[in-house]
Amino acid sequence: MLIIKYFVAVLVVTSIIFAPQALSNEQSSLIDCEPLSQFYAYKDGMKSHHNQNFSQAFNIFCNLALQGDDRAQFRLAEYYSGKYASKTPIDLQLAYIWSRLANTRIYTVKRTELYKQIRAQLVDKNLEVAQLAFGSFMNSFNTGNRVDEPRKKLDLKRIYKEYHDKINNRIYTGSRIRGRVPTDSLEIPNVN
Amino acid sequence: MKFFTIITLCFCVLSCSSTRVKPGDSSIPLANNEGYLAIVFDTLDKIRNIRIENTSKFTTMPVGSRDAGISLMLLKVEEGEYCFEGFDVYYLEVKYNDRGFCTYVDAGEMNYFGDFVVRDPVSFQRIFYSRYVTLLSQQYPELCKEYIGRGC
Repeated sequence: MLIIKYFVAVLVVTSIIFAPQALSNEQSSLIDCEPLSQFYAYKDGMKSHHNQNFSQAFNIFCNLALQGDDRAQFRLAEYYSGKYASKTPIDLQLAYIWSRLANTRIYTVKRTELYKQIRAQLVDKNLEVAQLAFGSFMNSFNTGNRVDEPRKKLDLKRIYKEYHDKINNRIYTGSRIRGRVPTDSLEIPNVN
Repeated sequence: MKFFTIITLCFCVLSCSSTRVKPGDSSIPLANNEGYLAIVFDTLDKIRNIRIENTSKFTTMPVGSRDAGISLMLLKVEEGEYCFEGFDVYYLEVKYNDRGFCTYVDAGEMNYFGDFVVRDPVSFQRIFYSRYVTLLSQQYPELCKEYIGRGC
């Protein structure tokens, strides 16, 4: 009993010490991207960026970054780092997180340089918070994806039906299978 | 005949909006609106007449053929979206009617398209970044150090 109490106490203390500190309300609200009326690919974000429509580009990159597009994550990090100051919100901690995430699976010299530059600007407690928050981001968000097309939902019922029809309509010929009976009917699972 | 030849050459020059970068040759500088497009081919059969389309300008560029095996192709192209239009394998002509595998080329960057895998007649795209970096460091060591850094 004493051992169990001791174990629980250690667990509680450890979770308090190592639990990532939550970002502030202002920072959390910056992660919430404005919902888009339709799907915008990375090329649409770049088009807006080149046309100097930075708020639209920021929003497109933000939505794509949440879906794991590493290119958009890098662009978002640039925006948050103040590269386009006065056009988009500046937040070095979020810039650190996105730049580090973008450079995890698909690493390049440009992404590494941006990450190092942002890291050098963060000091003490701010850096510590950003590093802890990065751990949560790694668990929550993917990277290394390319979001160039909208994701289509698979119609599994139709696919199973097509497969079932093929199996049932198969014609068995040949002496090697003489005497064999076709397979039993395939049950289509309910995918509702 | 001479006139016909000159006209044909002019058409070739106008339609070719990409440059194939040969291994070991990193001396071709990028223009302001240009980037590198790196494609790793992974195929069990020789594929010919590979065509890539610039969806921004609606131009198609032939990029040649690839022998069976794993190989890296590096192209210097203008910024924009590029999609595979099709290729030939044996007696089959593969054509993607509804936007084949695509990627966006950022200017001033080494853009990795991915591994274009052909298992006749099926084709798909996948990301195998570490192998791509290895191939790039072997064939284009200077470009690898300039654009990728780690692992070159």
